[in-house]
Amino acid sequence: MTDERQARTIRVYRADNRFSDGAIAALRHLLAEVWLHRAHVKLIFARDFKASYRGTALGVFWNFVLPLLPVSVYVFLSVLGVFPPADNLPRGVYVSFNVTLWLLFSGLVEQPISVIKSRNADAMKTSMPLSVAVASGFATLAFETLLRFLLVAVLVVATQAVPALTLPLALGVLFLGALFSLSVGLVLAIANIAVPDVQSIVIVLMRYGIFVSGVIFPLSAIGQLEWLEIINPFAVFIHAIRDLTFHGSLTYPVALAVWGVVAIVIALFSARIFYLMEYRIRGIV
Amino acid sequence: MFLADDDTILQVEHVSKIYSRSRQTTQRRLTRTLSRAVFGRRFDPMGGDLREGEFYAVNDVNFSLKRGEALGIIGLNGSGKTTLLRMLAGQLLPDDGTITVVGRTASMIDLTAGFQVAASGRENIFLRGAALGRSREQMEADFDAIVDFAELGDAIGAPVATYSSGMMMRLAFSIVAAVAPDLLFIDEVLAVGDFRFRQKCLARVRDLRQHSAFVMVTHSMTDVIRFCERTLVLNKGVPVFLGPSAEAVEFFETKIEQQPIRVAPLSLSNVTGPIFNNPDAISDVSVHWADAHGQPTPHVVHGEPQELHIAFRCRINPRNLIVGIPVWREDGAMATGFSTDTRHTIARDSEGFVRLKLHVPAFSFNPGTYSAMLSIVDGTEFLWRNSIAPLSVKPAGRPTWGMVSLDYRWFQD
Repeated sequence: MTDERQARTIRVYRADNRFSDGAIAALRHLLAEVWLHRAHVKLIFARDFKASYRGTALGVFWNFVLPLLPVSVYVFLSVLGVFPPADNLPRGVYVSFNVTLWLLFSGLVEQPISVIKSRNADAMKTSMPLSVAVASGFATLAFETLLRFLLVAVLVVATQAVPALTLPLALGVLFLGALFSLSVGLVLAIANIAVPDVQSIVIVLMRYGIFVSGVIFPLSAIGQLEWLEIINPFAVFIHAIRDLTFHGSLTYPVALAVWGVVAIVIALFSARIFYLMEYRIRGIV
Repeated sequence: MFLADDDTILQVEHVSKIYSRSRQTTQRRLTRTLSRAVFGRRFDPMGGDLREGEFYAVNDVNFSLKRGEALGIIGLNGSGKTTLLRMLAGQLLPDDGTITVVGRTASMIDLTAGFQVAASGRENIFLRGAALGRSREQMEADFDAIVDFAELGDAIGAPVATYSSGMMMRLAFSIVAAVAPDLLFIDEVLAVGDFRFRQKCLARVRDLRQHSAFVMVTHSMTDVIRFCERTLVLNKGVPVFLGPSAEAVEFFETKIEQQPIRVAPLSLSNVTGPIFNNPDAISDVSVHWADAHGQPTPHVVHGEPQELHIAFRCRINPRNLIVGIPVWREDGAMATGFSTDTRHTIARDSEGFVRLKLHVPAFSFNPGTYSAMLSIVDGTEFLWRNSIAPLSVKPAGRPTWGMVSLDYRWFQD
């Protein structure tokens, strides 16, 4: 916003502020808020990046190695044959691809909860919108996800697994999965201020969730839970992204369509909830 | 929204804020609002709807501010000043009423909030600037001026964690002061750094007044009179006076600041020392404050005569009987002491009874609550020691400062 426009701005603060705004207006406002403070998001990312290796002997090396650690552990175990072969893919590719997606989705769910809990009081004192604090936290997650995908690419090349022509469509599904995860995370972050047990419940669910989302091994390997392939949204998105990246066709197209629509609806819903509640949770710690 | 006129930059109408002492009550209220948001229902106004444990931190505040004007807000601690300022700055939403703000705002409410202590002073300038909605280019343009004003020199490249609190406050003030807002909110931050830097800050605030309006919360009556045309006096969240600053300060000092405060006796117990009772030596003790006519009373008007009536029975044959009355202010500071030592020989009747009357012609301690002990000693040996009912000194209607007001007159050649 230019200085001239700011000078003309009239703001009204009332108890029912934002309640009359709809979901689209809320989404537009949140995006504009983050865009306005993009310099802050960039600076926080740079600060977090430097802070993670400040004072270490190996310096920036750790920023590239540590994010790959959780993926590499599962790859190591799968190469040893701990997990069965799956989906006609080399074990290392299957696990690294899925774990990368899972860490992205679970990060999008869990990060807003911890960021809002820790930055709520500070956001009030600095007048910084909570949406900007949440966005700042995602810069690191985005960087780590990029690194992990690079590792996946290396494994794909090394194992000569051939991507399908539908790979670009996988990006669209990846976007839907990320949108779904972020939306759930934002709503739960607000709920966590009202009911602080939410964070612990989410942590428990996500720790078990990795094993019931077809990440380490296919759900078909645990026959009685195969139905989760279409019920568990994380399993649906991960499976669909893998299908479009390596096989060229969807195993569960209906489930993906349903969860895709749900993702968009939840995104609009969560944007409005977050927009309405952002100022109302301030100072509650 | 309707502004009073074109020059109005801030309009506050019937603004209230409810706080709760109980986390559960806060969470219940939040859950109710959240459920309304989730189910798409209309906002439920909560004004006047206090639940158990809730209270009005700010209650029905009204005022407006024009360009170039300065408004002071004064009140005792916990009177709602900072809460009101946070609502004006958009940091908190009111629970009732409307606040209309025109133009760019900046706040000096919690100066060091948002500082990243692991980052350098240089990085923090850009971080805080970005948090205030300023671009990197704008902050780069102001960078040298900020560092010069903060007088940090080479330390600007060091982590903020290595700064003294004064250095951090100077940097924080300099960053916010560099943003030239239309409306500035200041909360008791003009006591930044040492005396010289404080004068520099005050000069900067004076400069800002050329093009900014501001609202200032302060405990400094001098600052509020010097900088603000009008002042709002808050008492327990309620606006009790709004008018010219000099009159507001007089109102505050005579009607609010001098209201006696009830203090829990326990808070003084560490200061007043132990209670001692030897019934074989001293019995039948009676002690009370009394007015000039000898009538028992728990209070006295500042400057009026006051008496303390003491009676007891001494069952031993003391060598040097002394009665002492140490007096403490409510904050634990010792105010004075009265003693019979060396000036008065205490006589006993045939049964050992002693009756004493302490007369103070003008009780010159300033309004407040005073606690006292009755100590009866024989030389250096304590015979009896117990507290006397607190004495409340009420204001006489003129302003007072400090602990005591002496009788004085002014003369001019």
